[in-house]
Amino acid sequence: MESRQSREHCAVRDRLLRSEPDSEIAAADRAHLDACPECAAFARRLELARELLRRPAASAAALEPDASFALRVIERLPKPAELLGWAALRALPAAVVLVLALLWIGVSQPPPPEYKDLLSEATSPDLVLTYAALAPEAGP
Amino acid sequence: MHTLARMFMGAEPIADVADSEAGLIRASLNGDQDAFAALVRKHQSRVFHLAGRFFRRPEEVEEVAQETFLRAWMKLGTYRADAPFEHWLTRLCLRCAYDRLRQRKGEPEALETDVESPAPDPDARMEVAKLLAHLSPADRFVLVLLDGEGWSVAEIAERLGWTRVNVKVRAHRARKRLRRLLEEG
Repeated sequence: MESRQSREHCAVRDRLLRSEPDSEIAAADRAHLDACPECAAFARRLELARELLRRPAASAAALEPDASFALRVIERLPKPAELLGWAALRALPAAVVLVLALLWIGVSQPPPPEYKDLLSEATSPDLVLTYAALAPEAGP
Repeated sequence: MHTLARMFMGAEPIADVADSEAGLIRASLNGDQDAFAALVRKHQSRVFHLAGRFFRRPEEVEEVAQETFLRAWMKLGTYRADAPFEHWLTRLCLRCAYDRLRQRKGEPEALETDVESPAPDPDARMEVAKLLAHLSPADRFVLVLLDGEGWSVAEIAERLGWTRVNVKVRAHRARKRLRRLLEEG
């Protein structure tokens, strides 16, 4: 019995929280609020909370800019040199990625065919022996 | 009508605004600071009202308004003329306000103590104001838009550039915390 009541409290409060501000409360929920002082107190607090949320946090005077506000904004605008610095700084990660990509391509690419032949010839033992035999003897 | 709703509907006829505004935007894009100052003057009041929804101290309202226009200057090239400039500026202002609220995470929110407005039960109002002060800035931000301004999830998502799922999750979390506070109070 108690848990059923508790479920009903929860359901009514959920509906109140999800309802549009200032919307009509359903008749069934209204009947529950009339019979349940706890939920009625919750509904009153929710209404007050929404009323406070609707009002500006700042006082009326703080909501009106003074005559020199636009000038203060213009004074804070970044100068062209600053903009260039910012642009360079923003381009830095892209530049680093580009350099790394070029390095990786350079290292991972196989050598072109003509260099490949030369390399394989140079490492052939027969060719090394032939060069050794043909080379003039060094002597005094 | 709520402040933000007024801001979106606009107070001037759209055609008149568009003619002069497009010229000012084009000139600003070419680096004309006088044209940008005219844009600032045109929209400053609305931006102040919007920032004032979230911040109590006048210095903070001014700071958020200035930051909004600075971002507008820096990002003016990304503005697409298919939507009103005001909507774009509203998004920038909301994001500035949200960023600032997040920066001061952990600092207690100043209490709403406006006693000038008539209240049927001032004690109860003060009690609820104290409870609201316990909300995190992010929760308060979402609740101001949902319950204060009466925006739907879709409207918040569109105006802030968040996904609907993101707004739903934030709204659910904020309402859950509000509920806990109101039940404990």
